[in-house]
Parts: sequence; C-alpha cells; structure tokens
Amino acid sequence: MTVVKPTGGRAQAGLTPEMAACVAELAQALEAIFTPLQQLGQALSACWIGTTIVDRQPFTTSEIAGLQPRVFELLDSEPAVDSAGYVLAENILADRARCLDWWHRSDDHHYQPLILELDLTSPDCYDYYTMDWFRAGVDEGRRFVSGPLIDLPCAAVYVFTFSQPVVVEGTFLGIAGADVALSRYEDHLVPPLLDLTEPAVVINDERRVIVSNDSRWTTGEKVRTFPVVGRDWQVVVPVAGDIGWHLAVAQTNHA
Amino acid sequence: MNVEPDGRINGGNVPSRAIRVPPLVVSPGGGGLAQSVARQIADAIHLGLMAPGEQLPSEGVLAGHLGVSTMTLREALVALRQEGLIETRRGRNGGSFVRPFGSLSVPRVRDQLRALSATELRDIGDERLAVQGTAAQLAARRASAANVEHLRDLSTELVQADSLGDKARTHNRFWIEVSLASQSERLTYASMRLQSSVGEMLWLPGVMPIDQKALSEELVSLAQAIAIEADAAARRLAESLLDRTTRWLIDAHLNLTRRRR
Repeated sequence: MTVVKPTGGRAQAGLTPEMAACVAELAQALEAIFTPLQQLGQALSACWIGTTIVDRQPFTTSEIAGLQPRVFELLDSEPAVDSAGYVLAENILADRARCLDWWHRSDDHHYQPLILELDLTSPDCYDYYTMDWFRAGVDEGRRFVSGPLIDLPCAAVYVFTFSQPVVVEGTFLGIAGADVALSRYEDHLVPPLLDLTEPAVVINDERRVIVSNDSRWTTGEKVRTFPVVGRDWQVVVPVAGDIGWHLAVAQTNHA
Repeated sequence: MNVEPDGRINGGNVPSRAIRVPPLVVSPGGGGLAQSVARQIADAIHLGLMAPGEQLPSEGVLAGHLGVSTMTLREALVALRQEGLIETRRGRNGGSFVRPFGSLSVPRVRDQLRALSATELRDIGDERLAVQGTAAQLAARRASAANVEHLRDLSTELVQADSLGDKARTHNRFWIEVSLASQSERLTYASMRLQSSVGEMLWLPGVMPIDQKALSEELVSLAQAIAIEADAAARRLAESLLDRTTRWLIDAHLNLTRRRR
C-alpha cells in the first residue's frame, strides 16, 4: 500500500482559524490519553532506576505489582479508557521473560487483570512482539495509536490502543498503554469537528476514517485514496504528525 | 380475541395467545434477571408484536417460555405495570393485558439517539445490513402468500399512520414481517432486537429527509420484489434503504451533538 502524505507547506495554506482551533483541540484529545500514559511510564522508570541502579537489586514481578495503583488511578481519571497497563520488553524482569500487566475496569469499579498466555511455546500464545503498538516502541522508540480495531483479547470492544514507550538511558523497558473505547472517546473527537462549517474527516495513514462530521464518512471505513489538496479537498493537515492522524477538510462543493 | 378497527385480528398474521416474546437474552451489565425479562416483554410490546388489549399468556406458560421462575416473572410484571405497559384485571376473565399504546416520547427517544455514538450507529447499521438484507433476500425465496399480503398491507398502512408511535410501530412490523417471511428464527430475533434499538429514532422530527409517502413507496417496491421472488432485487432494495437510514441517523446524532457557541 502506498501512503501519499500531504506536503506540509501546501496543506497549511488554506488553514482558517476555525480549522487551526479544531486541530489544536484534536491534539489535546490525544494528549488527554498520552499525558497520563507518560506519567505511568515515569513511575515505571523511577521504580526501575530505584531498584536496579540505586539499590542494585534484581527487578522482579513484585516491583511491577507495586505500580498497579497508578494504573487504577489512570483507569478512574479518564472514562474513555477501557483498560490500561504496562507491557515489558523481554528480560527486563529478573524472574520472568515477558510481562503484560494490564487491567480492565468493570462498570461497578472493580479492576480485573487481563490474563493472557505469554509462553511462546504455547499455541495460544499472545505474542505482543508482533503487535504494531509494541513494535513502534521496540523498533523506533516512538508513541503509537493503533486502530480502530476490535480488541479480541479484551472482551471484543471497539478500541484504539495507545502506547507510550518507556526508555531509560537507552534501555527500552517497555510501553505504558491503554485501550480507549471509541464509543466514549468520540465525545472528545466529534465536537471539535462539528465546529467546522465544512464537511471534514480525521483519517490515519492507513486511509482509515477515525471520525468525521458527516455521515458520508463513517468511522472504520477506508477512503479510496489518501486526501490531497485539490478538487475534492481544500485542506489536509497533520493532527499529530508522529501518529499519522490527519484532518482533511472537503471543498464546499465536494459531492 | 382482539379485533382491530380494520377488521384484522391481533395484527392478522399470528394466532391469538401465541408467545411472541423472544427467548431471554440477559444483557451484560444490565441489572437483574427480572429487569431483563421486563425489557424483553416491553420490547415485544413496543415493536407491536403484542397488540393493545391483548392478554399475556398465563404466568406459568410465559415463565416456562422465558426459562425463569414464576417469582422472577411476577417481579418483571410489577415493573411493566409501573411503566404503564400492562394492566392486570382480577376475576374470572382476569389476567395481564397490554395497555393501549401511548405516543412516542420525543425527548426520551432524542436522548437515546444522543447517547449512542456515531460509531455505534454505524455498527447497528452494519448488523441491519447483514440481518435484514439477508432476510429480504431469503424472504423473496421463501415468503408465503400470507407474508406477502402482510408486507403489502404494512407498506401501504404506513401512509395512513398518524402519530409518530403508529408510524414507528408499522415500520417496525414491516421489517419483522420480512424476517418472518425468511423462515429464519434467528434472523427474526435479531431483527426484533435491531428494530427495538433504533426503530423509534428514525421517526424523530427532522431525521428523515424523505416523507412517509416516499418511504412507503420504497417498502411497496421491496414487498413487490419479495412477491415476485426477485431475491437479488429484494436484497438490493433493502440494502439501499438500510444504508441511507443509517446515514440519516448518524447525521441526526451529529446535529444533536453540535456545541452551541
């Protein structure tokens, strides 16, 4: 698949103050998830530094368990977050090869751990090293938003998976991540778009519609070609360049 | 037996006292068992599967059908009485009866449309395409003469329906009749569930850009395709209408979501 990305200079040309405000609000909506994930990541870094560098002790499962209240805080603070936790790089823990400490909040405010088979020799193994949101951290040390996708391991909810890499002095510890339910996250994304007078769509690098203010484009569908400024689109501008989301505003006569 | 003003009995196509409440599906996170039972029966009433004045099956029979204890069923009936959906008469001809239909509550249905997300509406639309598109195709291969007659009646009745509640119920009954005509129990239950989730919303003022006459004509064409056993055409007509319906609902939802500045 070829991804044709808009050129920054040309795309910015027709940007009205309204559109700029919309882009800023969309970026804020992303930060509403990424900022607490960064804080979660910092808690993991501090814990790892304290144990392995200051105390010169092996980093084990019990240290990770000590971080769980931080995960619960995150689950409580943002209603759109359906589940969240840490996923660690191989051999970061002294007592386990791999570790996924991920929690789901039920409607009655109980926290339930997600239990997955991590043993690579098992046919049911959940190999998170093959997941795009983990690979972005391992390979490029960059944050990532995967989806929208139906999250099968986590109760088949329609979600985005957000991941924030945690790196200490060049050592990749893993990621702090969250599954964000679309049905609830839309409250953050749709109102900014509805403030625009023109039909508009937020689209990712895969050409997939994230959200729109017009029923011609519905979430999860793929548009045929990546929007470029021209006959159909008046503005195509990155929302958050590093995660590949773009705002595309249609020409008013776009049919 | 309940005779309608137009002379049909109990909506015409189903024997009196037949149990038209779908089997119980306990929805996750949705209160207790009695509440699920009450919702299931309420849906059957809202969908027009049980006519006003119709007597509910006896407690023992209905509880057995739903697979719950009579105690749970009684608890559900109390809730339905409080909602004003049924009334209980004592004496020799006593029992529980469906009360005359109220009108569609615009604020309640508008709140429901606002509360759903655009993505959920798209997903319900996806399921309607799968369930009701397929039901239309199968109906064209399998419909009985009686099914075809009911479809024709319902599609033309839509023009005469006055209140929003009547329009919604007639339209719901059309789609359920399509699934009945498909001879598939599973498609029928799925269709009932889908109509009860979005069936009323379509009739909120301003949702549909076409009038009820134009909609009625589309249903007449679909009924005709089913009548002449043109299965591919039936599917195409159903899909086209369902697809537009989903987009109308999404646009209406977006309009309700717009911030006032």
